[in-house]
Parts: sequence; C-alpha cells; structure tokens
Amino acid sequence: MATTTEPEAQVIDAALADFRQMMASDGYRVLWAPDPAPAPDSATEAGTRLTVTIEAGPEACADCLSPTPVMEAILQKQLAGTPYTVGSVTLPSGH
Amino acid sequence: MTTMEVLIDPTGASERTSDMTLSLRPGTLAGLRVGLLDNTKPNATTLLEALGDELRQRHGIGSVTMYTKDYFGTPVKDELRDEIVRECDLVVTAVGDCGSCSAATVLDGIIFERHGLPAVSIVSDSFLMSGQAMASLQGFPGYDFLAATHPIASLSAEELKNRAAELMAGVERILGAEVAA
Repeated sequence: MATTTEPEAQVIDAALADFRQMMASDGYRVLWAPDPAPAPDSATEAGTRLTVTIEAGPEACADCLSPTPVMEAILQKQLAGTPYTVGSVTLPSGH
Repeated sequence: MTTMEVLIDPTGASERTSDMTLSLRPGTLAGLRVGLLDNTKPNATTLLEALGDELRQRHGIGSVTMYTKDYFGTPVKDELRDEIVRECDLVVTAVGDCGSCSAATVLDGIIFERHGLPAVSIVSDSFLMSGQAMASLQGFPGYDFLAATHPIASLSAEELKNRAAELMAGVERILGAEVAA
C-alpha cells in the first residue's frame, strides 16, 4: 500500500489549498490518498498518483458541484510543479 | 407512453472547438442592444440590472433586455442562445458564485463569442478557478472574464450597485468599449 511522508503530504496539501477553499465555499470537503499502485503499463511512479475524494458537508449545495472534468482540470493545474498527478476523483454519492 | 428527456452536458462538450477568436468589438456602445443573462442565482437579477443602469448612464446604450436561464449549472440552451444572438448586440451573463454555475457562466460567454456576440461573464472570485478550468476545457485558456469580490448572494441592493460600478472598468475592457473623456 502506498503511503506518503509528512513532507510529501505538506506539498500536496499546499498545492490543493485553493481548491479546498473553493470547494468549501459550496460546502464540500476535499480528501486525498495515494493510489495503491500505478497501472501495470504506467510509467507513473507508485504513490505519485492521487485519489481525490469529495465529501459533502451538512451545508453542501447539491447543485453547485463543478462538473468532474472541471475539477480534474483544476486539480491537474494545482498539482503541476509537484511530483503528483490526479488518478481519479470520487464524488459524493448521488453525483 | 415513453417520453424522452433532453440531457445537457454541463461541460459543454458539444461546444468544444479550438476557436479562440473573440467576436468583433463594436468600439462604441452607444445605441446598442444589451442582453442580460440571469442564471437565477440569488442577486443575479439585481446585479445585472445595476450593470444595465451603468451601461445606460456611461455609454447611452439603446436597450436592455433581461433573459433568464432555466438552470444555473448547465450552459445556455440553444433556443435561448439564438434568441439573444438575434435580439442583442452584446451580452452580460451572471452570476457564477458556485462551482457549477461559475463554469457554466464562463462557458456561456464563450458560446456567445463563438456565435458572434461580444460577451462578459461574471463570476465571484472564490470560483475563479472553476471558470478558468472551463475556459481551458473549451480550448480557450486565455478567455477574459470578470471575477467580482465574493460573496454576491448576501449583498444589499445598494452594495450590488457599488459592486456593479466596480465591475464597469472590466466590462468596458472586455467589450473594447470606448470610454467618454
């Protein structure tokens, strides 16, 4: 199972800070975890692909969530300049 | 009986091209027909009305017509788009103050530009990223739109007038409008 060190987590959290703030404005929380392993044919280093999970808070606006491609584009841009990429984005149930 | 429901792609995939050309700018706004596209978010109508008043006072525009989307999170429907293109010389669309509606507001502006109508899209600065990402997805990464100070929904009518006045320099820049000395 892939893990991240504290300094690595700080890099990811810093890169995602603005995205987190934007999502919080609509009542959502952003969590991330390293993908357990890269795809067999992938050159991506293990642990550098992230699974990003969007969780709805109690005040979340159900209709306000950005379309998934928009969120993926934002995440890719925010993570540019770090060793990390977005593997997948998991939305709250019902989306 | 089976009925069919039309689904609208919130990412506007059907609109995607590599066209990054803005529509022709009019120079002067005097006498032009302005369309205001209300996306139904709180205070969008009042903000747009205030912008219409500013455009009247500063540029002597010919007419202002308010149009309303039926849902804030998806792009403007083709029928309404065509109506606005037919009846207006430029359009201002607001307000993107959430993730989905800011993306859709920016997409609406790009759609109008690609149909020959100068357009100003207004989002709140908290959702600037969502608008920029949509512009990039549309193949128009440098698309110029306005970010108003967040929030919009909780402002009073007077505060919205002030917000509209603050936005006018950006509106004029995007429309390439000549400003009277």
